[in-house]
Order: sequence, then C-alpha cells, then structure tokens
Amino acid sequence: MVARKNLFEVGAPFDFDEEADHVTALEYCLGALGAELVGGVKRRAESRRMDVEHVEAVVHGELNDSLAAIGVVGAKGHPGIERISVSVYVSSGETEAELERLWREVLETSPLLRTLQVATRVEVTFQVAL
Amino acid sequence: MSTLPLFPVSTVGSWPRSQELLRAQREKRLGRIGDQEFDRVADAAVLDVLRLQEEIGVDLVNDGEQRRDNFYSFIAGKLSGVRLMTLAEMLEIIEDKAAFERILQTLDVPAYSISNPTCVGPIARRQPLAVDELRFVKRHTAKPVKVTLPGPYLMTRAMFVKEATQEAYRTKEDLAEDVARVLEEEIRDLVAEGVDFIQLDEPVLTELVFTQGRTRTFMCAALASTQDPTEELELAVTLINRVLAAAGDVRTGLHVCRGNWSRDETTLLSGGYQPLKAIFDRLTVRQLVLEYATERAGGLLAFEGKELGLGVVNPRTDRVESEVEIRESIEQALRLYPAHRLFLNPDCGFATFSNRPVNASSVATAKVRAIVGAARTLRGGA
Repeated sequence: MVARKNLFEVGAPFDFDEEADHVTALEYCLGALGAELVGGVKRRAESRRMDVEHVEAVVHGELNDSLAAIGVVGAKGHPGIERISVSVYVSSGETEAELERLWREVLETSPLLRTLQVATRVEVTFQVAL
Repeated sequence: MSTLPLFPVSTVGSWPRSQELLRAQREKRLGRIGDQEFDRVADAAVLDVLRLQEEIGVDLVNDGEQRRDNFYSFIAGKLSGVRLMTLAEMLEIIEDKAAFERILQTLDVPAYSISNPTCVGPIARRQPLAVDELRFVKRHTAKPVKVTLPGPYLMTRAMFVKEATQEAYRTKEDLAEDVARVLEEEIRDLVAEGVDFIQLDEPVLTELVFTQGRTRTFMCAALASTQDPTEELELAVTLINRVLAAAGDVRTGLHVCRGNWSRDETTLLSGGYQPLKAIFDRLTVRQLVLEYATERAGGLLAFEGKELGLGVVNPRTDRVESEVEIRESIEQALRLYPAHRLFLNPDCGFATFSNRPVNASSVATAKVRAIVGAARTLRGGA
C-alpha cells in the first residue's frame, strides 16, 4: 500500500494463523482505530501542554460469523465486524476531570471511530492508570 | 518473636496506596523527585498503614509494601545488573511474540503500567531489598513484623529474559545461583534486624501446574514457550529451601496464589493445591500462606507439620465477608489443623500492583476488621 510518500505491506484480508507473517487488513483496521484514539489523546495533550506520560489502547474485534468470512457454505451469519471493544489507558499527572474533558473531545473528533460507530457496535472505555 | 495470640491475623502484604503516594512514585520514576522527597511521602503512608493495622487489631503487621511499585519489580532499584524493562520493550526482543501477546491480553492492564525487572548483567545487592523497610516499621511499632520478599524462583523466572540476560548468565539455572545468594544475604540481614516473619511470594508455582507449562503472566514472559513443569518445580524446591535455610529459627512463610492482577475472576487461574502438595510437603517453610476464599482455590488440604496462613477473604470484591462466614472457614480448617497452627489473612494483597489496586482502602479495612472480629470470637471459645 502507498499512502502519500509512505509504503507499507498488508497481509491477507484476515488470517486466523497466529504465525502469519504480515498484519492483515482487518488488523490494520482495528489497529488504526486504536492509533487514532491514542494519537488523538497525545496530540490534544501536547497542544494544551498537559502532562501525559503514557497512552495505550487495547482493541478487540469480533466477526459476526468467521465461517461466512472464509466462505463456508451454509454459514448462518455475515462476515462483518459484530463488535469492537477499545480500552484506552492513560498515565498522567493531570486531574481526572481534565483528562475526561480531553477524552470527550477526542471521541467527538475521531473520524474512524465515528464512522465505525455508525456501522457496528463499538464499546470504548477510558481509564486513568498511573 | 513477641507472643502471638491464637489465630494471629496478618495481611499478605500490599495495601492500597494513596493518590499522593502514587503520584510520588510516578514523580520518582520520572526522576522529578529524589529519594528524600519520596521517602517523606512514603514514610507518612507507611505510618498511616501501620496505625490502621494497629487500630483494626492486626497481630502481625507490615508496611503495606507502600514503597514498592509492585511485589517484585521494586528489586530493580536495589540490585545491580537489573533493569526495569517495559512490556513494550520486552515485546521487541522476545522471540515468541504471539505467546507474549496472549499474555498481555490475559493481564487486563495497560502494558505501560508493568515493568519487568530484567537481568542485564551480573546481579548483586546495591542496597538491601527490605531491611530499610523493616527498620522503619520496627521503629514505629511494638507489634511483631512481617516482611515480604519475592521468592527465588519467581525472581529467576522474571529476571531471566534470554535475549537480554545470556551475556551475563548462560542459563536461568546460572542466574538462580546468584538470586539465591542475594536472598540469603538479605534474609540474614533481616534476621539480624529482628524480623519476626519472612514471607516469600511465589505465585508462579500455580502457573506451572495449572497451565501445563504454557505460562500466562508477564512474570514468566521470557519463558512463555512450553517448559517442563516437573523440572521447573524441582528447581523451585531447591531454590526455596536453600534460601529458607538462611532464616534459621525465624518463622517463614510461602505465599502461593493464582494471580491477583484483575477483579475479573475469569482471567485468574483456577484449581486446588493438590498438584502442588508433594512439592509443598518437601519445602522446609514453616507456614503456607494460601488463598482459600474463592472456589477457584479448591478444597482445603492438610499439610503435615506446617502452619497454614488461611485466606478467608477475597481481596478483589466489594462485598465484605461476614464474621460468621469467616468463622465457618476457620472451623473447617480446624478439622485439619490444630488451632495453634492456624494464621488468618486475606487471600492475597489488596494492591499487588500499586497503580492497579484490586480494592479501595476502605473495603480492605472492613475485610481485615471482619477477620479480626472472627478471630477474637474464636479465641474466646477456643
């Protein structure tokens, strides 16, 4: 894949083999969501000169029917993402109220999150963990 | 040791830290405050925890591990040849990345919040591991004092990260030699300072028997690939007994639980102590400090000739166990143990990881108070 001046490789659309060499398209999608939220927190914190030490996201995705995704005849569901859960953790010297305010802004201004929320169930949690 | 009453009550170690202390730990980690400033906050926190234990009626007190970031990685600041490595850093160098990722998923905590003390050179004590903690507590209480230390097997497993360690130690057995030596020195010093109870923490032992060698926690991250549990348990017994010998006549305990990193019980290990019984029987430790307050721990077992530190409350729930429930647990244990061999405690610490306590101090207080209440009632009737 080429995006502007950057080149990156994408593996299979999805892969259930843990040893697969490349990041799949599905993993890129979920990873992009986590990165969008982590990057959003970092960018906003920097612009406000807030003291944020770490930001981390854990993203899980679940297909509606993985059998449908691999084309099994008679699969009952569809291959789409049924549910995504995102936990964002932040370590910061700021007050929880300030961090919550920043987080709400991130949620409101994240294009990928807002798009996926229309298409499927997305559960997002934000935790301050020193 | 000062005389203990029947059914002595103690905690397993950690107590929830105040926000002020957590911030001080963070500021110290970031190099923004020095030891003196940190000690000012930590001293006050330890005194609060001590006064609280005395007020509740705990018989064998400790410092709540207030100065430590967690129950074992604090050693990085005390030993030469050890560096705290974040899990993100470890992920870069570990060969079996898929297994490591599974571990991270199991943890239910941000990877940045956990650092592993990793051996990167020959290890030796730069300063005592816990002697300073003991001295401070003894200056401020007349009660018998318990000190907790990470066990030699846990330390070896955690610190041996092949890719980072092999230049100094070819095998984990080589590293284990020096780990045992360090702990022997520490225990001798603790004994000289008048410690009343030394508890070694070895939570990894349950990993070995319940996960068939496929470990699930960062403490064994470096060895996430399959290990032979029998060989590992042999190594653990040898190391623990060697280290315990340094305690002489001082009472020793071994705490073994099934994980305490999450309130989600489904992420913690499950199974009785039966697979470890033969190992426990061979240990020269005086007391086994075991969790028995959840069904995950299985039924009570008799360990011949040993004291039992009976876990009677679950540190991870909001519900406070009633004194009646606790008395029932003790009465069950009395079928297998004489009263003078029963100690009482929560299943584990209330804040094994300082930044991820499993309960609030108020709930922890109510739970320990209930244990003390049950013990006092039983003493009256014993």
